[in-house]
Amino acid sequence: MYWGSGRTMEPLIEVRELTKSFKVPVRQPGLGAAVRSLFDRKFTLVDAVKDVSFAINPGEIVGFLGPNGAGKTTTLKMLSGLLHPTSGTAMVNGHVPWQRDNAYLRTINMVMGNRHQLSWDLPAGDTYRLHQAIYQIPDAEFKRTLEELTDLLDLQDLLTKPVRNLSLGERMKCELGGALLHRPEVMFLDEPTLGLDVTMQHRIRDFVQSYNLRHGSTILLTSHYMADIAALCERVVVIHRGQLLFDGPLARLVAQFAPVKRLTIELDTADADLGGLGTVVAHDGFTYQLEVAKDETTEVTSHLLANYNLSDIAVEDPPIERVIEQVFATE
Amino acid sequence: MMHMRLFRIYLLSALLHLKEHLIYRASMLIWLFSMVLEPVVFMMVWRAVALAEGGSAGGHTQGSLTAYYLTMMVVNHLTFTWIMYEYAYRIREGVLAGQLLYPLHPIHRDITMNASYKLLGLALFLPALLLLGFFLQPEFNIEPWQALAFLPALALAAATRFLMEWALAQSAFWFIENSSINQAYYVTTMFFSGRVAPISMFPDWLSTVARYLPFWLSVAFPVETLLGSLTPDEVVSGMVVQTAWLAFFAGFVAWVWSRAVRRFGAVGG
Repeated sequence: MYWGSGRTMEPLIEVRELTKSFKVPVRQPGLGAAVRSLFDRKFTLVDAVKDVSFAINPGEIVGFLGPNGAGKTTTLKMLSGLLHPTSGTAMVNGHVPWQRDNAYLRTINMVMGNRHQLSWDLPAGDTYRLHQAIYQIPDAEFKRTLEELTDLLDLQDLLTKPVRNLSLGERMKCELGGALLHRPEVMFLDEPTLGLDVTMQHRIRDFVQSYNLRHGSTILLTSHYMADIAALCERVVVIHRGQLLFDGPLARLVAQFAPVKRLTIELDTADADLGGLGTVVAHDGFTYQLEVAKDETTEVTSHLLANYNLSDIAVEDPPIERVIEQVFATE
Repeated sequence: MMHMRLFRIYLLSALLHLKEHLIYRASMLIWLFSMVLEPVVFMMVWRAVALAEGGSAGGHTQGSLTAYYLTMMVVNHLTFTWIMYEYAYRIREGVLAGQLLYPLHPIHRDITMNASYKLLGLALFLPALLLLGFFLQPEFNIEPWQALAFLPALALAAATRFLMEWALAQSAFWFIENSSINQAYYVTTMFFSGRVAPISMFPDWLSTVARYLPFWLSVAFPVETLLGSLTPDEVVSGMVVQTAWLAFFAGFVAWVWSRAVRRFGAVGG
């Protein structure tokens, strides 16, 4: 990879033909099948990740996209040393992740939307102290980092409350704070905005962005929310059924695979015929969902405003699953 | 430098767990109370047997049985662990995934969690010991050498039992439902550790076998060392076998753990 200066940059993360298969027992419903399976257990091999290769440069924020079960989390878990791959290689910051050297674990961290490192019963500040000892952070540096994180994440009032008394979003902020105390060079964020309201999603997003700008950390992020990816990642990697489908700038992905916009409209009639304007993908009472070619969006919107009695209109990109569906359909 | 780091981690981690235990003080009190009750129940049964047989059962008087069970009560508290009962939960709920991200073996957290619990528990066990001792009149004949030998025997017992049960907990990586394995272990250790009855009451051959097993060595051995029912030779050879088991379980834990980590992810979070 060449940068403006013409200098060659070594990728920080290099993944080659990474594959992870799970042996999954096959069980048919019914008592008879349950008895038969006692004597004849059947397994299938499921490829959660198959031959995935990519390289990421220092300081990049890369978004992993894909529907549930696509293999995003499995990939991140392998890169953070939680999972051993079935085959393939990976090098992160000069280490093979699944060898789990302490020297490696010291330079990374992973935040999972549905997992936790903080003690449930105690204020996050207590666990932070333990993190300081585990990562051997000198007092002055710990203080400085904590101040910075408190400021960026607005943690002041949260650090003294038991974690279980915090809201989901507050808890995620505290988890993020704790995960970054040792200033990891590589961060794996797995659905960091899972289940959060829009305001909180926004804050987490802003935080990730400013953290990356300040410290140049390399960040790999998975999310169901297109908005997360759009706000943070210039580059996305699309995985579907364990395989890599797309690796490139987000703008190209959206232009290439989501050539439509989705209009949600509320009219004063339940039987308008909008078929001529685009594809009606949903219709429930007075609410219609219409998919329109991207370059016709303005035209269709003005037509609707001029000819119908609109009480509400929203124009959005189609849901990420839909974009991915199209990515998959074109392969 | 490494030792200083570990020392700081142990200190902070113990403090953290101490605070956690204190939050659930009512629950902890009920658990501890049930652990006081177990030896008391067996003690009452054997005291009744001794009384019915004219003052002694299997060579044990009421007073020596009382001393045995009261000491057993404290030793069992100081050596037991409960990690295997919550390990499957930790894997399922992703607690372990969080711990695996640290540049620190998860066993260290368990050591401090266990130690801080024991420390708090003594606040109940010592008064219980004094109170029961006052009413039930145990016969303690403790020579200085026995008290001295008791300490290393107890330390070896606690370390062996901890590693044995920690290794057992790892079975949760292979069997999502491992409570049956835990139960099988519980029954075995209950019998062979000397908690149901002093093993000198077993048939000779069984008692000889039990003396070499880690169950007895990690529970009743320090008790019998303190109370003087073992000769100095038996105490020394017991400690040698304890050390051998300790070395075995240390190796076994390392071996099982390296395989368990590889299996991680095939089950749960």
